[in-house]
Amino acid sequence: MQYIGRFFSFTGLFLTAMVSNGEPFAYVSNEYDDTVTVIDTFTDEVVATIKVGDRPRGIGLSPDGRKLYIALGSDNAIGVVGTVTRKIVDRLPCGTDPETFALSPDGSRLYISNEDANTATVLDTASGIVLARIPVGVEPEGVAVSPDGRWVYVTAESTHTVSVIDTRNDKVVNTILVGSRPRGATFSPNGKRAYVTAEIGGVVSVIDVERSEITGEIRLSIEGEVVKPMGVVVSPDGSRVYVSTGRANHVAIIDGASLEVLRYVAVGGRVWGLALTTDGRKLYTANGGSHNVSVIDTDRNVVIATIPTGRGPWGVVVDASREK
Amino acid sequence: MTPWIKIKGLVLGLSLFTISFASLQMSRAVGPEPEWVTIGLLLEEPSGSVLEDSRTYRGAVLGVEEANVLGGFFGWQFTLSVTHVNGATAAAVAADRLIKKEGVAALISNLGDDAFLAVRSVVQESKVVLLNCSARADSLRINSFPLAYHIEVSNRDYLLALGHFLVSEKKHHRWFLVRGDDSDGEEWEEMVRTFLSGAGGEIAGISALSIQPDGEDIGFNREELEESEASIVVVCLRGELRTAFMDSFGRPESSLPVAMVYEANADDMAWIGSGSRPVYWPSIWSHTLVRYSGRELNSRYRRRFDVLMDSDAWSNWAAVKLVAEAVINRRQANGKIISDFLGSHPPFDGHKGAALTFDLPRRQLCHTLYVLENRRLVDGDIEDESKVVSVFQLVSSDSGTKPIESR
Repeated sequence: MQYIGRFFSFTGLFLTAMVSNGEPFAYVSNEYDDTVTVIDTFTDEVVATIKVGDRPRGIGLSPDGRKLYIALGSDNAIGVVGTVTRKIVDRLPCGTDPETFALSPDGSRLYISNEDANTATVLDTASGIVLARIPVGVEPEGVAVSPDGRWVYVTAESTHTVSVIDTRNDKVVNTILVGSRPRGATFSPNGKRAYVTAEIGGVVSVIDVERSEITGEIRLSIEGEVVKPMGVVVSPDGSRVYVSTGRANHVAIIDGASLEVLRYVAVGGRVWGLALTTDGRKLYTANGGSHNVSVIDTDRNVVIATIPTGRGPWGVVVDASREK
Repeated sequence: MTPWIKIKGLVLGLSLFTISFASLQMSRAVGPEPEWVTIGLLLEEPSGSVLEDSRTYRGAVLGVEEANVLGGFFGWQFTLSVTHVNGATAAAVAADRLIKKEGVAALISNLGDDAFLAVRSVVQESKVVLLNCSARADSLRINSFPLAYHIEVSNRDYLLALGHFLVSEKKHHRWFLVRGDDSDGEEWEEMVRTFLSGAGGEIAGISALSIQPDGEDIGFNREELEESEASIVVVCLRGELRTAFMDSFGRPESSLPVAMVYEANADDMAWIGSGSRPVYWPSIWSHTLVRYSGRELNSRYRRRFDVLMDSDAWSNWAAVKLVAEAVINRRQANGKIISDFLGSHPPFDGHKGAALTFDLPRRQLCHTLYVLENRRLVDGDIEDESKVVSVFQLVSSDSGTKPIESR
């Protein structure tokens, strides 16, 4: 009897969890038609399309998953969408031409790249107040926050630099020369490394965070293709680094320890934004040229779904606040 | 310890702290001085013109301003030293002065073929890098002068880009060639014949023009054009002679489209009239470019100067950027070091979507050429509706030149 009771208890708990938390959603910014596509990551089907503002690119979620932030480049604002209502609930002033951003781990700060102003803006998410404008390089784009929240990296496409910002005083403490036309940046889960993609250079720079210097460079190469590294994400255990290759239409899979390229997986056209599910088992790729998202099973490294989106998908984020 | 001693100790401690703190702040505030690098800019313009209106100057200024953003992170700052010259001798003298008196690390030349040759000879002696943003003679593109690099492309490359578009895409196989009645014109005719013989086209007729002593008749025979049954007029003229031809050709209006081997401007559109007859020309930049951060560069330029970015501005911006990146990467402003860097095939980002490198046998930057089209749309008004209609990738001489896509 007691085992039957335990079985029903566990089943009840499981069902309750399923009903209350639901499946994670992936959100895709569509640059050309000013929308966000919402994808159920269990079924890999589109469940909604949200009209946001003008020229959405960078996209991110609050830690609790309740707010979706989108950089609206032509509106000079960060759009805030309530993920339950799926409607714009706020627009935060953030300087001109925001392209991408990163959230502090506690969700209280947004660090935003202002592409036409050579600055990074620091925004308080609760009040919407601009806390700082930090001069960085020319044509800033990628922004990444270290897992401990101490460092913010901002890439600058035209000066080929990464500005290292200390969040204790929001000042640039170092500038690192990286590959030509750096775009995306991300930190390893343990915060010891950062990876910066260089679109024209065709490489990924590996940065030692503590020493604040480059310690390696990964060259990507696909025969017959011009590889243009753009987006970069790291698996939760740090063992894999995934890099999108733009119009080479592949995702590079890199061993996080040896930094060797393991393989390339063909996806849709002009692949840029990348996002992993919390368990790292699925990778979503925003394919701006083919107007869809590819879903890669990271155990088998094969595409298991192709999901149509709006026009020009740019970035993608998966809700990490919900557990399967 | 008496209270008095305690007080003295406290005052001494506070004083020491204050001095130390102030010293620390001063050392932070002063910082090391940047190292300055001067880039010489040679312009072939009348000295009476306003420098700030110069397209080449504007491009170089934007290049310097952005170089200083980058340079500021690493202890370098860049500045321009501008000289107007008139003729080859003056060019050589100016180059010599810039090198010896002003210590320039590099020279950017916006001079014609002869003046560029004169400057190149001076540079060879002095080990300063020379970047060509204007001279188009193919004969200049040789490997004998390792310190000279070409950002402007040659007449032959422009013709390849334009010709491929006209023949392969627009199916204009019969060309009526309008050229000058001089050695330049003969050179153009030879290049066109060579191109067309390989492309499956032919010269249907030729008009060799010159300004006559009376200043009125340039020798254009409209009947010859009409009898040629050409499908397009290809104009290998510039300056006063081209203006005179376009004026003659346009009255009365001809039904034929026109292609120009040199950049067209608003004055050239004056003859078109009310139809939608296109004019085509090749270029190394367009203010309409959007992809590959072309939009961002065009936007920065327009915000800075309130005018549209053109090919002269782009090439000078690129020249400054190349020099600055060489200096910062190699941490030296020495001409040979800069030249070695440029020759090492660094992936230069010119906002054209590909890594641009120099083809060393020709010392030529391999970059993207565009064919632009302009249709005058409204009677009496000249509108700049130019748009990119074809994209042509200049690749190294071993592979030859080829188009990569068309729009």
